[in-house]
Amino acid sequence: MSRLQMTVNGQEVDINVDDSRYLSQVLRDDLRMTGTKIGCNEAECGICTVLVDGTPVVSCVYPALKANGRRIETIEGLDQHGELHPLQQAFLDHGAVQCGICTPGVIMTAKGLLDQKSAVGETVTEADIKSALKDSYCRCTGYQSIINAILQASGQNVAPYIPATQAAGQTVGQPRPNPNSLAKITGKARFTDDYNFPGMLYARTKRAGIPHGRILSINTAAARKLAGVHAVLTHADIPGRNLHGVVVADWPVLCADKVRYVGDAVAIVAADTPEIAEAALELIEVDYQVLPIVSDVIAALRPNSTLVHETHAEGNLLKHIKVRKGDLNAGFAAADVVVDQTYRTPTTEHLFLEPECSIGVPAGYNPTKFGGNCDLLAVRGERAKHDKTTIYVGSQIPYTDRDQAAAALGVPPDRVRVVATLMGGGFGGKEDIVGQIHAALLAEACKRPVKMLYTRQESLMVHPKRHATIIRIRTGATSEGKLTAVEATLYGDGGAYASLSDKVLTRATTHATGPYDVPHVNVDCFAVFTNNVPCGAFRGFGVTQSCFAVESNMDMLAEKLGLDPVEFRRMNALDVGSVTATGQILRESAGLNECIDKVDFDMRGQNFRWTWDEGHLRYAWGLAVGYKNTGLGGGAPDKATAEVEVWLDRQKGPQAEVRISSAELGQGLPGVLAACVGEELGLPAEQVNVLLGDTDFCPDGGPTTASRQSYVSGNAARLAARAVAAKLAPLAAGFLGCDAATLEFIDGEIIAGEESVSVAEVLTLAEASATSTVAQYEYWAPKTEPLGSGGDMHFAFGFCAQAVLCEIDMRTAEVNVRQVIAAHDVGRALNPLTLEGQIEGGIVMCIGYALTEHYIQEQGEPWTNVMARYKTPSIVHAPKIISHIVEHNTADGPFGAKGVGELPSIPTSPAITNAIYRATGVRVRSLPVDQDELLKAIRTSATEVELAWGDRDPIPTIKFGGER
Amino acid sequence: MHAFEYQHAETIEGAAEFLTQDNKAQLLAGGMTLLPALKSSLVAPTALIDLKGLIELKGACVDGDALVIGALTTHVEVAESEVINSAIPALTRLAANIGDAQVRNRGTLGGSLASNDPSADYPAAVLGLEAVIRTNRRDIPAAEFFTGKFETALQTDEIILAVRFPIPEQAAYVKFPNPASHFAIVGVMVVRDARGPRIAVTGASACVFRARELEDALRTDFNEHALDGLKFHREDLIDDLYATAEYRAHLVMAMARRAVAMASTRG
Ligand SMILES: Cc1cc2nc3c(=O)[nH]c(=O)nc-3n(C[C@H](O)[C@H](O)[C@H](O)COP(=O)(O)OP(=O)(O)OC[C@H]3O[C@@H](n4cnc5c(N)ncnc54)[C@H](O)[C@@H]3O)c2cc1C
Ligand code: FES
Ligand code: FES
Repeated sequence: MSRLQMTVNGQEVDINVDDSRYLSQVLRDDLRMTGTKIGCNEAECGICTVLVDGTPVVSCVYPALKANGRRIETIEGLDQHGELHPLQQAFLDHGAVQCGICTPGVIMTAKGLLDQKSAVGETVTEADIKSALKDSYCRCTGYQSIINAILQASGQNVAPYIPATQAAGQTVGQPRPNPNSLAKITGKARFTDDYNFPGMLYARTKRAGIPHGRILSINTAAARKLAGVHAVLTHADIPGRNLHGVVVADWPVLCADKVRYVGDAVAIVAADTPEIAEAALELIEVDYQVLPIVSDVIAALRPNSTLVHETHAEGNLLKHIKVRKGDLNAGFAAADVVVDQTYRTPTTEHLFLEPECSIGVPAGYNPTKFGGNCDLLAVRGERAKHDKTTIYVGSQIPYTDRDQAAAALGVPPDRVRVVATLMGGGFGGKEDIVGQIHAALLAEACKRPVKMLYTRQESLMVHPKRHATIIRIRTGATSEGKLTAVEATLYGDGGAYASLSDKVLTRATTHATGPYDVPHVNVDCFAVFTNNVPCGAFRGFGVTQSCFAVESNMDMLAEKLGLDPVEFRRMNALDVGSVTATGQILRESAGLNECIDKVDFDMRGQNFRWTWDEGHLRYAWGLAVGYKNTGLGGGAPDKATAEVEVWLDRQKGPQAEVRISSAELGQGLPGVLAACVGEELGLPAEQVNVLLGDTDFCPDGGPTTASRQSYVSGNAARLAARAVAAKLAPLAAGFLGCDAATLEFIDGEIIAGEESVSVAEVLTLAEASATSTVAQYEYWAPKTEPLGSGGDMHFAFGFCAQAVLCEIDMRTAEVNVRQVIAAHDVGRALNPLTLEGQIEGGIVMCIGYALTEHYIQEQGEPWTNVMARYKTPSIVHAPKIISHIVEHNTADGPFGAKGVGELPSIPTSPAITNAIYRATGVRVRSLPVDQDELLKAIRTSATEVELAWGDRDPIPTIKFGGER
Repeated sequence: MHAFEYQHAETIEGAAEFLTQDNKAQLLAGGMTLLPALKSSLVAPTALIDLKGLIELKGACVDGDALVIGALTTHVEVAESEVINSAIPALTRLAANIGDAQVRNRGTLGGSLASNDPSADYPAAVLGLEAVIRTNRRDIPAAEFFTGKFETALQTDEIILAVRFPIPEQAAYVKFPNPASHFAIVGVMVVRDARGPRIAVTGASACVFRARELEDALRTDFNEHALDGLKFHREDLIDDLYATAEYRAHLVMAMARRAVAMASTRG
């Protein structure tokens, strides 16, 4: 222990700390200043940055004692007397805050830069910003808004980039920051790891560490004896069901007889400190009989393959998914040209910057027993003390988490409450339950709150990834350029457990013709169990994979036909009246052609050339289009229930609150819901509070997946608000002496022709007459039909087109994306600012998919086991993005909206490889692009590359329809 | 988490004394290599001896025909130093491209050399410029300093005080960065002075090395085209997931050409 004296945001701090503590720990744990966040704990991500004597440093590797005598500035000290710092204001204005986990670090780094530049009287340039933030990651924004915000804060006149949209309503269509952004830029926002409860213990998980093995024995005796350990649990200690799974329950909560991948959980420990819990793991002895592993999808389906799940009826075949339309032979007979190619896509990692964290609080927990007070903010008021097992977690599916945890605890679902905290990014990777059940089990075993925080390494190893696929696809067209047939076979590596493989790969299959009108279609997809890390949901949900194959084939066909690739796509684009691959007739809202036109017009602006040279740099354009369903579809009931309440606050005037369990991943859902409710009630969005994801206070909004929240939850919120309006209408009509049906709610007034009464006044009347001003609405999305029925598989589709300008260094094969022109048909832009954020972030994520990201596993062992090895795009990769919003309103969506979450990260990768082909004559068949292989191909005048970065073996040959 | 004692070095002798007494203690400069390594249990020092207070190890000056930079000078200080920029501008450029602001604010010249990471940038400059590393005990010529992957000629209780760089006529450093870490997959330092041209390569092999055959090609004609048609070959090039040995060999040529072009236009 040594004495540490420093100032933190101007306040003197004088404490004793252990020598080996880091500044981040002192700030977060000792001083409870949780504005500074932790993303990696290994000096890689930059989100823990604070200023020490004005200079940005990463606090996770800054020994606390080094701060002695120094001046520390953190995000909490930035706003002064209620006035935001120019950086904070600019981040708000530009929508440079999404999930917000990176925001404190990025803002502090930017502050260091601005202060330093202004001290010497220099202007900040984009190059300065990129140099300062080179290794500071943001997974959500795509960086363009961050760059613009910093430029604005430096005093330059940079307006927020907001694409034009159709006329806005009172709140709908207005660009505005997400309501929770203010908390995020001031450091007040609390993510799960920012919560602390008196008496809380810390948990760690004993992982399999081997990809496949039979458990012979587990010995926890030594671990239990370690001082400071409160509980060590194994499968034998689970009171209820020892399985979980979002679609099929096949994943052990704690493995009993065998382990199927390296990240499988075998035992869990709760202790006084994370260090003790970690030490206890070392003392747990598990004996395994090591089993042979399956890591290759094709080998896994051979008759004598080792089985991942011995009892699964179809061996390692998780599911065979089929799409059939028309007569394939007739289709190819009518084709004049055919392209038949095989592609491969990599396993990829979400790399949300907030590692998974859950806190379990036992039923009957009383903080005063531990000398503390109830955290009223955490429990949401006196009404809800911890009377049941409570789980705090940033979850994409709170109700499913609740039900799964209850099953494991062996209690009815209503004995568990899930409180969704803010989430530092999800992108699909937080759909499967991870530590939630473990935290709840330990909390009940110890009768104390238990925090289960994953390390970055653990996060990389444990949660489901995006499926690696092998896709063979044959596309036929007539010499005029009409597509006649598509045949495809896909293999998807599902990893060790079912997770969402069935759903994800179904989407890959049904979207395997691309957004084109193709009369004859035959697609087979094999979802396969292996001993790799499981795969599940990831933004794009399978369509990102098939789009790469489809759009590569489309460019190859265009070339063979001698057609302009844009024209060729236009000729075949889905439009109103077209029939999709699954036989669905599109009756409305299909804006693909307009997307193509917008992108084409911009791309062909001045002096257009497809490709040109500047010294040894070659530039080339590439284009691709995509589409993606909104909503669960396929016959799955898709509904959401929202509750809306309005009341009169004596100071603030009329207030509304909308409650729904749907999750905010940083995508801007609260803003969308507030806009929907505000529009119906004639209230400004600022007067609409949004309460999300508390299973005791919010009705079920369903899973936050499939880009469904704007549509489904947006409608539920809107219709609940309308139901409240209907309760107020008679009172207003009585007051005004008019017919309730003629009333309009505008700008805080309820209006009938010339007459009006304020909402505030009507709320007073409601109070006096004890009229209820709360309503729930259960919204059912339009019914869908299962795959194979030929009916409407989905109730809406979003469409997009993207053109990318690539720069290729012909001497080294370095590929950079310099510009992206994008157009997205989202139905209706409910909030253009947050919508643009989704688009930019999605595009940059897909640039990573094309150029850098590969979650590499060698015989079931992840090689990408630290953040330094997983290459996500950094600010230096950020291209200039020009974005168009296309709004083909859909009849049933809220105000015409469809949803956008996934669409932007679908066509960027084939657009890039199409540009590479145009520049070099080399067709890249495997992602991510390997510069090494590309250079070899350029120098040997080869026409294709089949090894991606990280690949060792060529793409296997696959037969249409599979081996069987 | 690994526990350690934290100590401030008051004097260079004091710091050396700590090291002599406890052979598991380690010097702490910027901590940007040491602390991540410590956190991932790659090293387990009993004590960290922070050099931060030794201001005599900071800063740069021109001494005769050489530029002397203190071991504790941070990357950002090098990047922004007018003295360094007018003497050897290649060094300011090199430092400005290390990591991000946070890394440059803390990482130091001495720490980088002592770590001798195979893909670090400074070793190429030090070897290419034929600099001399001054420690509390002796002067070590660059050619003897870098002994292997993460290994140097330093004794356990030896402290780098400063580096003496002979000022060249022309020099330039170019790197091909790893897209994840931005460390060099290949980095090439090209130098020209009265003794002729020199090329030092980092990233390509387990330890920084001189590419003598390329130097020969430049001897009569210091021009990027003098390298045309040459193929670089070396047995021990790194072959890993980031790049094959063949690609690294190619990048050595590509970066060397760029560096020569840059050095000769800069004059
Ligand atoms: C995200 C990130 C990106 C990076 N990018 C790059 C990059 O692009 N290029 C690059 O070259 N480097 C890069 N680095 C490494 C960085 O430059 C380090 O700062 C540097 O290599 C080590 O310097 P340090 O002062 O931090 O040393 P420390 O970490 O403090 O020490 C490193 C080792 O050197 C010893 N040591 C320190 N000073 C002395 C001395 N005076 N005498 C003897 N021994 C000493 C220590 O005991 C320790 O063993 C990066 C690091 C990170 C975290
Ligand atoms: S750099 Fe400190 S948490 Fe990532
Ligand atoms: S807003 Fe940057 S990581 Fe989410």
